[in-house]
Amino acid sequence: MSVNTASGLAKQNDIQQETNGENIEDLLDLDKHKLSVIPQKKSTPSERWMRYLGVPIAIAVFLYLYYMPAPTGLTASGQTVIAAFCFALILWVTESIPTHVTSLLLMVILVFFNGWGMKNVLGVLGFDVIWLNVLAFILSSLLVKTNIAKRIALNLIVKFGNKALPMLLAFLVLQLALAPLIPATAARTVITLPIMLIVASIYGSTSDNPNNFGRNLFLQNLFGINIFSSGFMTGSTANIIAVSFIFSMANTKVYYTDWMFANLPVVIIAMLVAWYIGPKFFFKIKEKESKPAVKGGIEVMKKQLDAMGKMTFNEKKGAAIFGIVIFLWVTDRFHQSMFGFQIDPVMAAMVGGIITLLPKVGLLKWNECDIPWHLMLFSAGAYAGGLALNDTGAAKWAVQNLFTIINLDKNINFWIVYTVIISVMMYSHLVFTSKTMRTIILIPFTIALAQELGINPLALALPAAFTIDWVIGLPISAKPNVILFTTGQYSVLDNLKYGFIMATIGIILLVVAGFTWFRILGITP
Amino acid sequence: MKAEHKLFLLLIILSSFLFCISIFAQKPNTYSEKIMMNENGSANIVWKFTVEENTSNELLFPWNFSSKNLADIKFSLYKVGKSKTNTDSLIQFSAAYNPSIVDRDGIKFISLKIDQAEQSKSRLIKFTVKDFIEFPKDNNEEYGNYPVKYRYINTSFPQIKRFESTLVLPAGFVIVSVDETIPKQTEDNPVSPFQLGVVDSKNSITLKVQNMKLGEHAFLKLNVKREAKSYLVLFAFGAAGLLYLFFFRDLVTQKNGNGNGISDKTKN
Repeated sequence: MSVNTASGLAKQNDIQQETNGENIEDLLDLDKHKLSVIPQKKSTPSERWMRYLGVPIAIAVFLYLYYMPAPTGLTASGQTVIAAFCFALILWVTESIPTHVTSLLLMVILVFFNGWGMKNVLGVLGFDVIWLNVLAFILSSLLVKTNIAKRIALNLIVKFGNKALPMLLAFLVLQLALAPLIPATAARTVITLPIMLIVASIYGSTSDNPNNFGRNLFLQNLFGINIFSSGFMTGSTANIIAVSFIFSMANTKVYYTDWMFANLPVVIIAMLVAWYIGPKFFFKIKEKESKPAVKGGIEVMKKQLDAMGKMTFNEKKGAAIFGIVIFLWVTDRFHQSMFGFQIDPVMAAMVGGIITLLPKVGLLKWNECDIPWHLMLFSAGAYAGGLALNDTGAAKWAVQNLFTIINLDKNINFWIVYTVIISVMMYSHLVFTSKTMRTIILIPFTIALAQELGINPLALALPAAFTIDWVIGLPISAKPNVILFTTGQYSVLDNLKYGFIMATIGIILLVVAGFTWFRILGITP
Repeated sequence: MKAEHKLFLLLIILSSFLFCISIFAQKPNTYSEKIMMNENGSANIVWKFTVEENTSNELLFPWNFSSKNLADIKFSLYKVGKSKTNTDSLIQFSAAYNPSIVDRDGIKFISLKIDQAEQSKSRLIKFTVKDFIEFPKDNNEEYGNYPVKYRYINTSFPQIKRFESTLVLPAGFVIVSVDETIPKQTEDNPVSPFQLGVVDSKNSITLKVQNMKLGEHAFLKLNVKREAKSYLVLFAFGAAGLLYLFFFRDLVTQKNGNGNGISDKTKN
């Protein structure tokens, strides 16, 4: 569907004649970089070695874990799930076989080896996160096709200059502003996804040829969406559950402002660290990638924006449809009183998807929706593995065993206990895919441990609760991760290494805050 | 109402009253049972309990096994005491004190005669139920899993302060999954009600319930299976790994190996 005016097209032709090299229209034409098409990527020699050794290592690890005598406290299905998950994790990281094929393989192994029931495994494809994924890409296609995403992206670039770092920072500010307004992290991801895609494209990063700007952009947004949620008590349901545990088990009330004053500064510092270290150390942005991949630079972009003229009717229509979805997301707590029923974020996205695809009313035909189905299969398989870890008690067993090995007793120094608890809580997101489950298992345990050791439970439980939303290590750790991974802008290994280091930095920041800021606030002794 | 009807009603009320009196007279403090399953389907059961106070000379405990051969079950009663070597040991009571299964108003109980002088002591009852479960040898359905369900209902008036039931699997069996428990682990009650463990080198599961009142029950639904794993999988996976190393060697031997298992020559 063409949404450009005739005069706009004429102006754009002029701009194309002015530029030599990369054509801005080519860069912004996401039809040429469809997410639903699996890209052929060139590998470096070390990547090829990883791919070569990935399969035998994965098989060896699987066989060892599957055939070893079952450890005490772990069910046979739990043992199988751990073996299968490690097998798949190695294959995802090494990319020996395509990630979606690994997911299918994981599903088959879970069923064949009695790890998780077939109905459970196949049922994951109907989960809300998968539906939200599909709907996110329909809405994203709407914003791309109507040029709204392009307009916002060009505005961002023109306003924040043509440098990579300010652009990345602009996105973090946007995520921080959205966090208290829209508690659903997946909804925030869907809103910003199309803008990310266009900006990445302008900086020359596409799914078939991702660069370090794209990696930084998408991973920092992943961190921002998740970590900023932990700045607010209402950032996720799991935060509220943790607060209710602290109240019911430790008889201490934590208010919204208590939480925000304590943790928001920590998460802002954490995100500034992420913003700085990503482009400087992990994915160094080359000179070529630090500017838009358009010859003529920002001037061309300004002309392009001018050439778009005023918003077209279809842009307004698209904005209105998306506005309805955002309105439903933002007003979720008032739905019951407004409509007499509750509208889940997935259902709100579905309403938007229906309007988008309605004949005459909507703006898209089904064939125009760019949905990466192979990555939906990846998400379903990966999510099945993660849920099986929860469901079979394998994740709980792993964490409990860790505590047994650490063997905390009454004579131990508070700060050692504090650091251990924060570390276990932080890294446990690598085995738990559910924040709620992680909270239900670990927060009461932390409170009970504090009571046993004669420590004020708040001093351990509240900082531990601050780690709940740090679900940043793997593409399956949370819904935003699943959605963002489907853009093909980064690999599992990219996510793991940047996410793991950021989680470690998070621990350090929370320990430092425990010594200083939390002490001033009276949280820690 | 006719006179005989009145008499009948009075008898029912009186017998119910006496029944309640006899049961209320006891206050079990802790009650634990260990059910050791055998591969032939039988189970050796050990009940251990302490009674806080008891004013009658009979103790009644709920009977929850649906065995067809109740008459064949032989009970032995023990108490913990000092033996000749002065260490704690089990001392068996004479057969005269052995418990028996009794039926009270259609509900089965284990009845235990007890001397007033021997009150407030721990007791052990051992017996074997022959048809506790079935483990058919050729189990080709449900991935070789055997479903195991066990329910304990407190049919007696007194509340059991601490109830604990341990199911011990036959040697060579493992717990595949714990599908359901009562009580459940919930947000309000986050402590897991069950624990997996090992008893005499056999896998076991223990369910704990606090303050079990009349009519309340503890329930376990598991899947268990034989531990033995097929070595065909080991060989198949091992072979797949070796084949991968052979067919995908172009990934590292050629400068631009594509890793699709087809060499450039073959493609042409």
